[in-house]
Amino acid sequence: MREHEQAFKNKGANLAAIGLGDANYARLFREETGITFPLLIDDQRAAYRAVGLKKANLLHLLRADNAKARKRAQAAGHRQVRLGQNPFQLGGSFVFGPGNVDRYAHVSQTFGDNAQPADLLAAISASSKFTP
Amino acid sequence: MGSLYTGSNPRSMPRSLSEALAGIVLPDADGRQIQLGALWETQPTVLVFLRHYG
Repeated sequence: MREHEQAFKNKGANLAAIGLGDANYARLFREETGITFPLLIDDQRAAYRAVGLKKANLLHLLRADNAKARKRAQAAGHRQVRLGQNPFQLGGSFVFGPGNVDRYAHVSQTFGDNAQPADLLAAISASSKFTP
Repeated sequence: MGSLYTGSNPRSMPRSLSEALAGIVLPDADGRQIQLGALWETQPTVLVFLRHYG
């Protein structure tokens, strides 16, 4: 997602990320990736629970779409270097604001099920006030 | 997003996701306490929940 940060900014939106684990994990991740946007730590899963994010199970590892997603990520140069606190936690992507307005929600159903950047950009653009 | 808002009793309907998150305060990688609602108070924000670091 970080490669799309400038596109989000061009549309007048911020980018922020939330992860599990601890500050050491987060700092190492930030150093390795060079990200400059806010990286928050939710070691109690309070925010993950608040938006209903899911957990996978062992059967998800056998799914064909998971194998495809893994190949796609590897081809793009992404490499998973550590599993973190909960390897079965699934992610999600949202567009909020300005104010408490939900503009887009993608709750991952399995590994590799990520929001499409074009959908996120479209959600940002939906607020004509923020379309350049 | 419709599937996130299921339920027949309006009183049991959850608030918006952004409202549910807005009051949560989390530390960033440098230990600063950030209230989530402040991230999208004045402009749209893409909020990504990571599956793992790295």
